[in-house]
Amino acid sequence: MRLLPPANLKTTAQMLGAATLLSTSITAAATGTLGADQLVELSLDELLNVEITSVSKKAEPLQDAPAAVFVISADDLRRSGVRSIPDALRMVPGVQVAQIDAQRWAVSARGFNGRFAARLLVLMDGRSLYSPLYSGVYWESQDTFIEDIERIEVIRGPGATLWGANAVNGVINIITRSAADTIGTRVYAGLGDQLEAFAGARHGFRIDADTDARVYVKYKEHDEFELVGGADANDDWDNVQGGFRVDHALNAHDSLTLQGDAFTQDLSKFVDRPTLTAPFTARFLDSAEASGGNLIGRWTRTLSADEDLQLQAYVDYYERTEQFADLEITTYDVDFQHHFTPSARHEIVWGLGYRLTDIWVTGRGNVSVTDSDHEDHLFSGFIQDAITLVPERWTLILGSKFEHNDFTGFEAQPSARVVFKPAQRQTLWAAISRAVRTPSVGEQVNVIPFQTIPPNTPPNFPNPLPLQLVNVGDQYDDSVEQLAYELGWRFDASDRLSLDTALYYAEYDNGRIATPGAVSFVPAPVPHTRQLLQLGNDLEGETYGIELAATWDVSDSTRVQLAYSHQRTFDHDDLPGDDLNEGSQPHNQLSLRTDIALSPQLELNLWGRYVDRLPALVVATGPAVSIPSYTELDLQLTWRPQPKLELSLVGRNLLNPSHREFVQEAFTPPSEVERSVYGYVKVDF
Amino acid sequence: MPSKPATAPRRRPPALLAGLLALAACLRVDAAPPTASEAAIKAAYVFNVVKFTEWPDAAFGNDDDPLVICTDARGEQRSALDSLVGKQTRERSVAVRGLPDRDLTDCHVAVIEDRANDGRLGGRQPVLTITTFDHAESMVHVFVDGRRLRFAVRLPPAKQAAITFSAKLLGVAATVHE
Repeated sequence: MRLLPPANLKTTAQMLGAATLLSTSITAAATGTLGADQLVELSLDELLNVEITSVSKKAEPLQDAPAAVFVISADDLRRSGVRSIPDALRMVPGVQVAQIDAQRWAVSARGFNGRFAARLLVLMDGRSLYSPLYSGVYWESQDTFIEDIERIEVIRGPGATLWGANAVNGVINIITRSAADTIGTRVYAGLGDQLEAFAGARHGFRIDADTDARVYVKYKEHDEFELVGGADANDDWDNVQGGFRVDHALNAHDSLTLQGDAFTQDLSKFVDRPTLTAPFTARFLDSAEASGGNLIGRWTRTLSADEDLQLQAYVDYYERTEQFADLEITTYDVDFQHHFTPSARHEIVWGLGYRLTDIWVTGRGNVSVTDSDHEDHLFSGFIQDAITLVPERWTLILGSKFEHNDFTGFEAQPSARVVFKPAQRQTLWAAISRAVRTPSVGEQVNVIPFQTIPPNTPPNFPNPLPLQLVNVGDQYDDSVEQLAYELGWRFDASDRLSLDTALYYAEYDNGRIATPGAVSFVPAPVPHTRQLLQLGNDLEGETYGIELAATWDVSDSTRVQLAYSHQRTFDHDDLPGDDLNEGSQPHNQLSLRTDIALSPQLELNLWGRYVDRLPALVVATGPAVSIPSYTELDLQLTWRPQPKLELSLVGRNLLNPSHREFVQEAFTPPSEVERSVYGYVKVDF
Repeated sequence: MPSKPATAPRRRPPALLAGLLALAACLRVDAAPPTASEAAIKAAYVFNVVKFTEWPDAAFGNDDDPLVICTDARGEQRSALDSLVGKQTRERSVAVRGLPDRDLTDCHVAVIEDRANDGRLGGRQPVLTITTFDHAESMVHVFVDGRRLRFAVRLPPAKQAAITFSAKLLGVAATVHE
């Protein structure tokens, strides 16, 4: 038993068995992949001809994983009707997803949410998606052919041991299908009021007996939201993306994968920029754009169920132009991993990695950077041993990640986990882990005037001049540290009901917060006063919570899935804005999904969500903002008149004409998420 | 360090994409054989091997006793074997259980994945043994050959347990050890 990099976790679809048979047979018709029922109908001769979709490593059953794991299967994705990755994450307990405007999302796990939330490690097929500029994720730029996602694995809590820095509050791993699993052509196209037009095509084909490939292209055009108050938000956007994947089996043990994507996006939107003259803020229409691409190569050698090796290298390019900055980031990454079983009691995974990040950033408007060119080197290694104390009962997992980065030098992130299986269908686990979030270039080099407080307006009182607040990065900052204690319990109460709960308590230290400096007088261009807010590591505090996921197969045609989380964060310091983290998280969150197969051709999916109020979001434009709680409902009706044709009608956020979910920390006027409807057709050839 | 000049906003066309589509158009496309997960194929092999195996009459108590498959498989493989539960073969319905701690008397088939359990092989009870590793006392060895699964049959341990295989099964086996 071990905690493997998430690619090896078992899918929930496999766990849920019977309930997924309906969808399995549909996939089978499309791609030639056979389900269990079809396989046993085959004769011996026919069986000899069936190919293995992928020679899997020793799969770790989800049931046994000693961490707070949730898996979004391909079926979950299909049934949710969502057309973006962050929207899919709303079904995960302990994960906060708040849409800021039509283009942007704030996503985090276990608190600390924000547009610039920076404590999640997000991967797609082993490629890191968080921006090295600020360690957060540009969610609008993360996409793929959604139908080809095999699963999304979400691990809440410090997953640092194997995955490395930034996995402080969680790891999200998006895994796409092997090319052998996507043989055939799939085309979809849809129209709606918010999601105005979207279409995509994937063609998967066999090159020879050992090589499969696919290519895809997709397009999405999204309408604008409304600002609070009803004016057009001008945040409409589009995305064009394409990609490919080739999987080649060299022999029984070795396989090679080459894959890549490229995209370009129009991200125009309103930007509020502080000015030095009344009314001290100005609204611009910013013609922002982003584009990028990546190429991944992977060699996997599976020697036996007990031993495998993997070597992966990738290059990723991201370019973004917006009101504040021009940005170009190129990342080169090499990773090696080896898993083996030296004796019956030990199972070891170890690995080495190197990453070179080349960042070029320059400020625009009144934003500046102190240094434009950066080349950062990251060396890392990890080792983990799963020690069987009592076979089938007790397992101890010890491991640590070690890394050397250019910001803080050497970092160790150890963890200890213990797993106890009191019975066949129950798992108890406990873990203590230390995780760090290393500083990013953006935090070090920025000089950002983010707010101008008018004369004689509290807290700028008494002062006849405007006060310009300027955020200043820190060259000597430390990593944010976290020590987390976790407890988990998984229980398959019956073949139809399973429960998964996690409790956590974590102490964090060296948290990032700006400390106000002295006020100075600046005579030009217009006389004003200025206060520098120096970003430092002065925040400490604690966070705790409980997360619950339950799946109930009510009957062969109905499944209910619940996710609930309760969470609190307490900052301990005397600085202004000390409710920073507590104020940005909903204390309670609930997701309830009901999937009903009305007939073999007709399926209904209902998804209700409740998100508690955000008590006090700290924003640059004024006093803290409170976002009311909301309850929303999504509905999808899918009709499959024949196995290769699917028509879906989706209604999202149906209960309210519009609702607010978040306000970005700075620069973006708050907008509201609107009720929307879209329909689409999916055809397989 | 020299810094690059600030430039006007650019849009880089996804050149990679255009290249790929061109590449795709040139490639020959073969018809793909059916595929399935390794675990599911293995489970189907187990079911098929059972179809072509004869047990001595004493192996079953009553006519309506289930055919019991005992296994140490875990995770995905166990789930795949569990999907056989209730299926009818040889006029009996299939049951799947964990490998008993002591002897295999209550099992008709033992599917063993963990070499550490090889001590369970070689008994004289009429139990069909199927392993995923090669062993002199294993009756059927299922293994990966390239992208497909194959199996080998060993007759001596089967003979010792009074188990016989049909000629059809032996005809499709990759190897038959006499």
